[in-house]
Amino acid sequence: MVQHEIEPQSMTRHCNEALILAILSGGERHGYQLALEIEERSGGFFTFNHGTLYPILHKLEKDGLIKGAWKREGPKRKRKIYALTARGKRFATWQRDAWKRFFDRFFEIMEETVT
Amino acid sequence: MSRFSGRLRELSEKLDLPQPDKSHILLEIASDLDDMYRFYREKGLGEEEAVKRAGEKLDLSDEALRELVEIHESGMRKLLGRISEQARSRWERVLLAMAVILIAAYSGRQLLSAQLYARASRFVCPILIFALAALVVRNIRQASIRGKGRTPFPRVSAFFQSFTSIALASLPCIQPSPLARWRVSIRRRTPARTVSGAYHPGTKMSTPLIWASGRSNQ
Repeated sequence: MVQHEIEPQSMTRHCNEALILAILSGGERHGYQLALEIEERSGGFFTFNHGTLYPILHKLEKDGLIKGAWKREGPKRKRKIYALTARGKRFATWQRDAWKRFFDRFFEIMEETVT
Repeated sequence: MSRFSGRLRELSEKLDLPQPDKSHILLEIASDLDDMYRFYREKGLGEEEAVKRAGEKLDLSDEALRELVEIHESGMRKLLGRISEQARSRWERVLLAMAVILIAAYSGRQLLSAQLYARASRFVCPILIFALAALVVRNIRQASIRGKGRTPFPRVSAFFQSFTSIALASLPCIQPSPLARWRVSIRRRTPARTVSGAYHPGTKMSTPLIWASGRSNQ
């Protein structure tokens, strides 16, 4: 995954990826937990339905940023747990900085316009 | 999980992916649906309402399914899809079909030729055996996934599938194959004339064919 900056054209995708990676930085989670935690921590501001969640998770997994593993829970239950890979950790750090840079520029313009 | 079987069947029909990717995705969705159902039940919702809410939360649109298919599609499938998309005009399709037939005919002729195997390096057989082993493992995995809940003896069916693969793929590995013997016998019957004008009983044979025919080159 080669990215240099946050592209305004694909903001939603970058935002969703950043949120998922940020939650996974705190430890492994499964898909449902991720959606729930993002919703709870944002006070309901970010709501994820699984329609958006699965393609993002599978894309991140294919890019090698997260790793999914099947874990058995009970005799008949299996769950896919996601965790950040080493590459994913580096990417998450880069992404946090990229978002900061993005908002710095954004607010520079906003503040100039307001003043 | 049976409470979501209808929804999962619907998704399975829309998800145009080969196994085991398709099963993995459906299994993941099923377990998340079940989790969501439990969550809503714990919140005090009735069974019907919890099923409804979980289904709504999982709103996997056609676009999302298409994205999932794109992510999991193999390179070869993508390439074939692109070719078929591009080959829309009649002449392009005819040309493509002709090219495929020519390639298939040429490679088929080469594969059926006993000489290809007789003159091949000694590493061909080990490589074929490894390829065969990989094919068997793949077949067993696929058959066990497909067989779940559909056939009473998935392991038996997997065994037979693997057995067929072994039989087919090992045919070229058998050095004194009937095809090789047949070619050797033809050569023996048609003597070759050399520059000096003397007749020799057949052209020079490669070592495996000599073993197969039980004759020396001299």
